[in-house]
Amino acid sequence: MKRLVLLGAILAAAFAAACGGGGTVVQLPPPPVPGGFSNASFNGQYAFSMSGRELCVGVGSFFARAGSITADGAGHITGGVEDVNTCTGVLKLQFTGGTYSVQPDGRGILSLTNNSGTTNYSISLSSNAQGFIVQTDAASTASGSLQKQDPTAFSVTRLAGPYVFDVNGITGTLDPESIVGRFFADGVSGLQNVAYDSNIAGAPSGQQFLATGGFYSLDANASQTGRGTINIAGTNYALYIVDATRFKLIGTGFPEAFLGEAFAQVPGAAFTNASLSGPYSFLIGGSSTMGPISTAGRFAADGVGNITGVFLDENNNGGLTLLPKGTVTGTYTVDANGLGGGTITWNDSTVGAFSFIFYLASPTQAVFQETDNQITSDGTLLGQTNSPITAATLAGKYVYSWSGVSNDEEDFVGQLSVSNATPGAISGTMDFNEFGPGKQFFNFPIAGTLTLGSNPANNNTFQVQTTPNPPTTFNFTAYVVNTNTFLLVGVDGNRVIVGTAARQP
Amino acid sequence: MQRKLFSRALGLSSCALLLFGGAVWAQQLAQRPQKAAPRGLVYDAAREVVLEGTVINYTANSQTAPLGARVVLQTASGPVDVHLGSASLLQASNFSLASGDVVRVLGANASGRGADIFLARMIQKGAQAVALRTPAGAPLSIAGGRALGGQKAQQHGGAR
Repeated sequence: MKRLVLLGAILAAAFAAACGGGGTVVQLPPPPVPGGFSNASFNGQYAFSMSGRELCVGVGSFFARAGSITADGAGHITGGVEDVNTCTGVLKLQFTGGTYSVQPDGRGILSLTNNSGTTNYSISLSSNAQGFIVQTDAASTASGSLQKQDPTAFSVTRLAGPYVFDVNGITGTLDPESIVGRFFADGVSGLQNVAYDSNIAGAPSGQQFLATGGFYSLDANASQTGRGTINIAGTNYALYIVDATRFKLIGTGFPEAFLGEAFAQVPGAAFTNASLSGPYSFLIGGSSTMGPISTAGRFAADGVGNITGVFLDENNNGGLTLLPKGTVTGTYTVDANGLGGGTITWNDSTVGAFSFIFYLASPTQAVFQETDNQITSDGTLLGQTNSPITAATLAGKYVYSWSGVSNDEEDFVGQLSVSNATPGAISGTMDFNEFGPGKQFFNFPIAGTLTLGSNPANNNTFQVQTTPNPPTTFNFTAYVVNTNTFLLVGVDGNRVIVGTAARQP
Repeated sequence: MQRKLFSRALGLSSCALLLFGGAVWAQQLAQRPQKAAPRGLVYDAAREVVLEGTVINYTANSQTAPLGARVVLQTASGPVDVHLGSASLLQASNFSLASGDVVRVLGANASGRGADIFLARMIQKGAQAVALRTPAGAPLSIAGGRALGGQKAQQHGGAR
């Protein structure tokens, strides 16, 4: 699982200035690209979800969409459905058609048509089964992911067992909210042992628990879409099944708006402090009192409650905090109830304290929420490889997506190569949407460098520059999860941006 | 709110369960650590005040942290750097700022880590006022057009 719920988190923080106007859509001719992808690579049913900004009353507004589409492997979308939580309400829309094309490098474009019109997207496939997606319309920009669906999982009996979940968005009072937790789906219609932690505008709720805490069902035609509905602790969502271990969630209430995912938890596990052991990387995003915030880092847990080896980059609306700055000491506790929740706290003697909530799906995967004062931020915690991290092991082809805010929301998707011959040299191509008329860009070449740190398990430098002129340089810190995945947090002072790169075959 | 209502309904309709299950409930609820001292700038609603001053300088998109719209006001106690969040809500409300404008700002001062800035929750010029943050201090620009509410928020065209 290369990517959990991180882009939705940063988009919850979207903090856009007014849209600029003018200009024309810039579309460069695509460069010749190697690779083995084609239209046939995108074939079958795919679930997707994304969040971003839509133009509403002349101003960017948070919105989210999730759905299911069917691709025929020959460039046509033959059907599907989506839920869209917009500034005017929540819509359930049937797709009546659409088209797509996939280039050999796995990048592609997609259009989806429903009775309101046609929306447009750029995608990048890491395999036939998953990829990143960015909406590329002038009035809407968003980013997220898509995964091939397993139709054999489209039944309530397959949605059974424990799951962790992470949703984020805005409340009815327009405050940012993150909810992380877990529940047990009974395989019929009920949710039991729902435990969760909410964070509204940086005010943590403390753990909440409902012995009987929700219900779910699938649509009558779910065999075609994998769509259903679920109520988790009082909040209503539409769900889209990826497979029995994963489904997407989109809030169907209004004016609140939420997007997230649920992931199967190790069945029967009684989580203890020993469950959190070894090195971990994490990536979270959201908002603070100041505006958008993104954070990535790594640490090691010793299995008995101690945290060491903390490295962290936080970009709080342009204000950077890098750890370690002083001496860092930390502890963690896995909840005694064994449900997989827990807390992590570390303190940098110069910077101050950082505190987090997690719910473990397994000893190497968790949903992760920051609980520091007036910060609402969440994302993903992943076990980090113990294998050597070198330029040679990281060399290869990746798809990537990053999103965030500069003067306005911006969403990027593309494909890049990390060279083995010239260690760390990066070249690739990307599409991006900077939200507004004339701000959609396609087939832009990028070049840059991945420079490994003295210990690549800690932090590394990832810099890319767009070409042609005027060039824009993006400076990231890269935290390696394993040789297939690295997490990116922007460290430029004029934008808040975060993303992921996932290896292609 | 919906979650709270649901919880209340469960509580009312499941008295028997709670009576017998209360001990389990209590045992299963994990403790969370006390909130640490904030390490960044925070909005303290208890310290809200109203500033009145004359605009010295206005920047719609500050390129230094905190990013966003900022205005420097000349007040009776001296110049004050005010963070307005995103300029988008101001622009969508046709609210302009220029040197010499007299404005009132409701908000709270935030300082720490070498920064000292006034975080605005609402700004008023003449008879026009625009809300910029929720009462909890969260930037309303996250919600964007949703924050402008009512019929105005119905103004969305194009494909979904």
